[in-house]
Amino acid sequence: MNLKSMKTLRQFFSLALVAMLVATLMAACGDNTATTAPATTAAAAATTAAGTATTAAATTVAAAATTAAAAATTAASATTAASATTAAGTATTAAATTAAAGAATTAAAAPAPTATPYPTVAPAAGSVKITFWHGFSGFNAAILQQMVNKFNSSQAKYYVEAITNSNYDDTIAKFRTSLAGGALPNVVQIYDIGTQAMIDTKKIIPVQDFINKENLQSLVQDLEPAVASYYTVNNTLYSMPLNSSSPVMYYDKNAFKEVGLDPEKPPTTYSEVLAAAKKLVKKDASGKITRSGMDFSLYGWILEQQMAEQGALLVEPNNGRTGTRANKLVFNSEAGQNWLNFLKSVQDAGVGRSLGRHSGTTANTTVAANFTKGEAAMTFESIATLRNYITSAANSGGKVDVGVGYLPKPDNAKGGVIIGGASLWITTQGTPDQQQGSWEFVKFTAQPENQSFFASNTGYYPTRKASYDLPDMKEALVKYPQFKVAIDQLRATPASPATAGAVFGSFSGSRQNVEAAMDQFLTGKVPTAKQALDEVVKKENDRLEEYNSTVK
Amino acid sequence: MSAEVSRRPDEVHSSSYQVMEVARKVGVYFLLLLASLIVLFPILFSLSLALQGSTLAPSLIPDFSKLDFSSFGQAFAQEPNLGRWIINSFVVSLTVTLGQLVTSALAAYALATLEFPGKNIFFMVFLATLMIPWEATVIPNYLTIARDLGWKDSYQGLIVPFLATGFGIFLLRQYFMTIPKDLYEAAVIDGCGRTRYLWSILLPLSRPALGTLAVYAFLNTYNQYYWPLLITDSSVWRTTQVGITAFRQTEAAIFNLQMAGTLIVMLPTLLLLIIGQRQLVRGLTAGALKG
Repeated sequence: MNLKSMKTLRQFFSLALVAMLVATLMAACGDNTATTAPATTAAAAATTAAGTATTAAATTVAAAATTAAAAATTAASATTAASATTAAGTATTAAATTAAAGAATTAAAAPAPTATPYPTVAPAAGSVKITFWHGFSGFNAAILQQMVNKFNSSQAKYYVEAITNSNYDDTIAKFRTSLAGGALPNVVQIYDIGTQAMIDTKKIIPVQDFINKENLQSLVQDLEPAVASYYTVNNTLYSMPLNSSSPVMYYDKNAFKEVGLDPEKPPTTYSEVLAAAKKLVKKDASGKITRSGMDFSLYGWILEQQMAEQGALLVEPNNGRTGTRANKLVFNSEAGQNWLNFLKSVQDAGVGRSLGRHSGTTANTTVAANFTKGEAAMTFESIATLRNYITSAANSGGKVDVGVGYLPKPDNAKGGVIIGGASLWITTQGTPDQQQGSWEFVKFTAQPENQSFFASNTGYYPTRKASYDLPDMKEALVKYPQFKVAIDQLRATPASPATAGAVFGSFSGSRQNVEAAMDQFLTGKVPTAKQALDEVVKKENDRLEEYNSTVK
Repeated sequence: MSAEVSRRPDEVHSSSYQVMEVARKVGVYFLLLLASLIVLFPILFSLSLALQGSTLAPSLIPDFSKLDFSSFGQAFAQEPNLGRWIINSFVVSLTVTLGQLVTSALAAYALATLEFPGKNIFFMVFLATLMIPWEATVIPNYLTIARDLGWKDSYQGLIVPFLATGFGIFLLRQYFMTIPKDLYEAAVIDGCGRTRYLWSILLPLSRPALGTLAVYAFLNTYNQYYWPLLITDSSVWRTTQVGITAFRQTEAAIFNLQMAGTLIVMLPTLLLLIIGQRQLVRGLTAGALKG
């Protein structure tokens, strides 16, 4: 028994050690799905070890171990379910920059200065406190804090306390839990796909109410139209956009020159992209790709964009924007199939590579690494990652000259891109005074000079048209001329429910199912794009129906 | 052992034996090296990423000619509360561990050795709590702690909900049941009371089970993510697992700061385990020897 228990303990310690390391590592990566999983694994490992340790002493405990293990399993599956709800959006949308981007100017020269902490300013005596939750971390959080400080020192009546909740998913999850307790923040930053869910909480005050009260239609008219229309549901502007972006195609100008393509005229349609990829691909003697024409992750966000590019709805009726709640997902239509078939054709031609599902994986890291090292000539990402791409390309040998083009679409398709990002919501929490203060703060963040400051530092679009006339935004456009392409692409997009983007209650959590279906098709486990999309649409419609039944 | 072998008269046999011995040792050390590389891989990998500067395209092995150690300093510069998070995590995890040991041991003692009406029902209720997924209790717990008691941003809020556990009670009860009743009777004849029996006899005999529960409780609490996120708003009250997410960039996957932060928060726990492991194992098995 002694020997046995010694051995068991040793095993237990090594197991526990490894589990803890992995859990901490994963936590650092910020992926909650991953964080909860290893934690559970550690628990399960510990449970098993505990089980065996006791068995050494008593046989009765065998049953114990089983029960405990069963409990662990229950917990594990519950965790998975829970994370399913939250996981999808993280990389989703908008986007932003990073320490590297901020330091892009100093690029290779000095070691990049990080986002230094922006100490909060002290509240003025007698000021009304406004609690503000956001999902930024790192560099963007520091830029946001500077804006909050500016607001706090610009007046003495209100004091905004900014609280980070790590990321968008955790912010909305924490908000949902807090709904029950009533301790909501006064202002909260929520990602694009949380829009319908936020409206349904019935604990928010549409910013439209404040706008109407103060006759501020001029503010709405100066908002970037595509941005304003995303956050407008049923003719009501529900939240104030803070940070917006949209996807673009990145391409390597040097590779284009090398194979005789015009580096200033990137392909814009599926067929042109395929033709370019055929020229750009390089293989070694054994036929292995050394530079792919196009690398891509299977990203639900891009599929949604491709629906809009073809003027097709993601969900009926009217993408959920005109009074009737969205009740039927339709992205299995021809438009959705077109995109999947295009990706498959690139892969089958041996000129491009699928790096697998996007959400909850490191596929986007691989894509970024391949592109910035010159091992992939084209890819799709948010414009907000532009600065990271440029910096990383410079750090990885400077072989790549980062170019930005429109997201490709089928020949003759009429449509455009949808914006992504996050917006500020005002809640019903607190006194009328606090609600007014919340609006003052939200209004402050939307001022042209503040949007110009925010956008020029982070890489998002300014949400105000007037911001483009301000010096810091002009300077940013000189430094990053590629950014102009993204603005042009956004402004060339015809306004319609399709390009306004979909709103539906079960949006957060849907992308990972969609990406799983895309992966099934791209890896050949499902023969046709239609079948893959039909299956996931059916599954997602069940989820949507379930959601809708809880809010009616 | 090998010295004895080499004194053998049969020289030929001995030298071939020595070769065998060396080969065996080389093999063993090679396997050990391999195993430790596998175990250490997460640490080495994160170290490698931490030293590559802020890039989207890190490689597995860093370029040794341009290692960038600034990320460690930057981590502290960006989040001055880093040290406080480690302290918070330790305070919370240790208190919860201690609390679970005390409550579980007392409850298990009653369930295993005393006779009282409804004993089995109590036990069943404890067992039933194991079947309730943690997610189902988050909201009620949150309401009690945050709304009713107002314990947001405090050690109480982080600790109190986890002071008792059905699993601990169950584990210890099963272990206590294996200790012969004769021991109790003999102790009583010698004039030992119930408390003294628990403290002087039962608990020392149960060190393996107590140790298992302690490590399990510590790890579980240390790894908590959602509860600390929910119950803390201020950066000062965050625990490491929530805190280190601050090093993540909102959109791009740039790992150097994240990994530097991770290594920093991992270090104290790691040192504690390395220093304490032998001690802990010896203590646990010493208890078992007496039994």
